[in-house]
Amino acid sequence: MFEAMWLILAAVLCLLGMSWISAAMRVHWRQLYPACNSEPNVNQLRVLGAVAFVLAGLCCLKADHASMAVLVWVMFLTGSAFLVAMVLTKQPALLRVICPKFLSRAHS
Amino acid sequence: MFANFRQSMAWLHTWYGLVLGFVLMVVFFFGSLSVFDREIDRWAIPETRFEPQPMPSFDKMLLPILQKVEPHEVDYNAQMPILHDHNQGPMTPRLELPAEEYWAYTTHRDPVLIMGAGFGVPKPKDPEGHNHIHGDVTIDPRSGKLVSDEALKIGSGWFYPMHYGLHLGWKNLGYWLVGLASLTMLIALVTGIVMHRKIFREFFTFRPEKKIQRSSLDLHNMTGVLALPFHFFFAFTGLVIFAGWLYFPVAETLLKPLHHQHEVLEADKTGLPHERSGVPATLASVDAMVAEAKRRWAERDMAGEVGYLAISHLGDQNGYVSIYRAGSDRVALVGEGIHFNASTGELIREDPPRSTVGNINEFLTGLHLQHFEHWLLRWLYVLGGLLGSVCIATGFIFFVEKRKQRYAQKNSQFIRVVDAVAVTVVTGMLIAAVGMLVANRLLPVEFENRDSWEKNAFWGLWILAFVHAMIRSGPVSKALMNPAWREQSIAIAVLAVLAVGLNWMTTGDHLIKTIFTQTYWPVAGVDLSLLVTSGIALWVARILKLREQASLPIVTLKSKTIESGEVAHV
Repeated sequence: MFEAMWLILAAVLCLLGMSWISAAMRVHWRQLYPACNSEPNVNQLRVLGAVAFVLAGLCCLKADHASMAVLVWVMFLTGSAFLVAMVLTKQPALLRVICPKFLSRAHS
Repeated sequence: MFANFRQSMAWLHTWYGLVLGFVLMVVFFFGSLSVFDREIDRWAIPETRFEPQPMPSFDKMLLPILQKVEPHEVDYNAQMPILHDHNQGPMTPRLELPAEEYWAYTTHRDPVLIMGAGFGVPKPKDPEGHNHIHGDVTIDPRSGKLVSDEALKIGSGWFYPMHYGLHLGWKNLGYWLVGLASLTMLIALVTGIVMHRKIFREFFTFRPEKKIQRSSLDLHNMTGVLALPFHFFFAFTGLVIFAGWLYFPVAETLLKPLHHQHEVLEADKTGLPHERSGVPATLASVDAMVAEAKRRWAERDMAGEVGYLAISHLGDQNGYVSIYRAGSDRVALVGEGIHFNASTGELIREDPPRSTVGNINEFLTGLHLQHFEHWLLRWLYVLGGLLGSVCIATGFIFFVEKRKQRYAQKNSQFIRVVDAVAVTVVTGMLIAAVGMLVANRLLPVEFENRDSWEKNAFWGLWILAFVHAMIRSGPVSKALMNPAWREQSIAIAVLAVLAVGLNWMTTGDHLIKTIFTQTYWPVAGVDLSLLVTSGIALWVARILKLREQASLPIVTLKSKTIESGEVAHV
């Protein structure tokens, strides 16, 4: 039960991290906020993404033996990157919830 | 020859990728299916649809069955003439060969138990070689009842060997082709990174609304880059698994005498006899040895079940029993071996912890073969494998889309053939795989050589898919889309629903039953996957129809416009 909770948390963190990393790219930030002329706060978003990935790795380690955890973590990163890419393709506005406007440079 | 390094890498990526990409597609797709090979077995052999069982009593159940195992006729006919020394007289008849070793193997996903015997060759050509003819059986461990040899394990006995050997047994040709393709995959990954100028900028970029050439390249780049660690590690570890015994068989060739000497010295060191003594001996209780092994694992805080059990030098004073723990809770394969004297039951040796190199090797092998019990990771592996398949398939599509206008002007048929082969290894392969499941449910159980007919259905459908793709490929030579992509997608959708329906009709196991009333996830999972496949295939067919209609006016464009519309593979 606890393993499942740690794994769900790791998956969510990877998804958040990938969303922030993608939003740090100007072209994707524009997909999120096409009407607004703001620029992403690149450093802030990248740091947020990196921290989320590290925390996700720790969650994987809490759930599984280290040899297994590293595989789960890498595959979570792959899966979440693919999911974020698909959301950006079809419904980029959905990512506004994770990447609110105050993470733009203009508001930082 | 090339203006710069990037261009030479692009050439390598394109042409190596095209030639061996067809093999890679098969490897990736069937590798993805192999993650759930045992579950596909359950779907294909309804009488084995029950929960996984631990290894049953060896003394009471397995031994009497093993004593009745016969050398396999195919193995005998293939190996005996090679291993037997014809100068010493005629070959020993198949049923008179003496059993020299027994083994039994199970995993946390296996309701059935696989076990077998190795039979000695009495007059061998090379007395120091491993002279064995094999025989194996599959049983229901609850009753000891044999599972028919004609019940083809479609997952573990067909899809899985297709993944690593392509069912091309002659001179191990399939293994070599897959190895070459894996090496090409590594080359394609490195060259792909070198030639991809915007690798980070286009990390999440997929533009399906653009022309097929652009959108297929987006998807090719994205699936290649996002799953790069997966692609790299699986291509690499696949090579590692076969490197030792097939690709670099130095132990059996150049260093054979040294290897043999090492085996003898190792046997001295470990106390596990290398040769038979020639003195007959009886077999002590193996169940008692299993109990002792389990006690010792528990003592080391590694309580577990038996994964693999083997008896060497059977019926001889030098005989010993090796018991290995099932490694379902870790990436490494079966391990923590404990060895007993077969006639006295005394402990000979407990394997020491592996060295660092040994651990790395076990990790690399284990991560590829995934014997572990981690369902989430298994599904993530399927995702990785399917992303790899998409990457390769979109590579083919991009290749064709980029060139078909130019070849149409030249009136060349080359691109038409490439497109037809691409259809065959993408949608055609799916038709063959799903069609095999349909054949499995249609063929009566009592049908003679049922397994051969299932295999014939697989190959037959695949050949038909190729013929269909070739016949329908005419529009490609006019720079249009091959309608075979759409038509075969529809065929996949129909076959997948048919397979689920036939499973229900022939076994009574419909989805409501296997999910809710008598939950049995192996069968429910296969049925659900088939339905999802059907849905995706229909959706793809619909999109292809729209694309086909949209692409019609393109032929009227002037060549200049066409040329300027090309997308560079960057």
